[in-house]
Amino acid sequence: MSRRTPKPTLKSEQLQERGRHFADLIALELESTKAFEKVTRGTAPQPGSLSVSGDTTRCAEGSSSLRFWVGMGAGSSYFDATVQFADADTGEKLGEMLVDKNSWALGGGMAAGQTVQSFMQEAAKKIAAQVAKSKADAAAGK
Amino acid sequence: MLAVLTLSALLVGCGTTSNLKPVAGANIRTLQKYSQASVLDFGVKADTKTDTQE
Repeated sequence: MSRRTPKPTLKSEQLQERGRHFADLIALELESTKAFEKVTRGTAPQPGSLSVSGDTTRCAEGSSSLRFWVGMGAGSSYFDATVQFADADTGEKLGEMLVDKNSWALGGGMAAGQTVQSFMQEAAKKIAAQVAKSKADAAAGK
Repeated sequence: MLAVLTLSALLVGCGTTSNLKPVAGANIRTLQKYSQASVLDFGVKADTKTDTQE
């Protein structure tokens, strides 16, 4: 009779940690746009603020070795998420964004360097830029 | 110029991040009234597809 060791999987704590990290990146990028006087991080929104939240819907590190040496989709990395913007006081949803990132399918050095971390950074920059632009457009009456 | 564009396309990951779209019935112009933003921890959808490089 053989004993099986449980196969290692991405634990929910690891996924939650990535969710926290993605939120940290968004907060940093939002601060750098200077679109808000104050940007806070936490598990509950501050009264009177714009709440930025969301869910990770796909997260796969894949294999950088397979992406580099094999390509053609082998070892691909993915990061998908939904981002919601809402009024912190009323909970009214105002807008949303979708993140759908994946590594370059043909492989090689570029694909090997495309990690979940790099996808999160790119997405956080775009999210902050979009919020700042929408805020500026609204103020300008566009 | 073409080389720069090609390199730029390669450096960024594939896939997209959509533009900010207003939810149906919501007025995105109200964004201008907020001077403060609260970024909350992102959750994990129950059906999240995952794998890891261990």
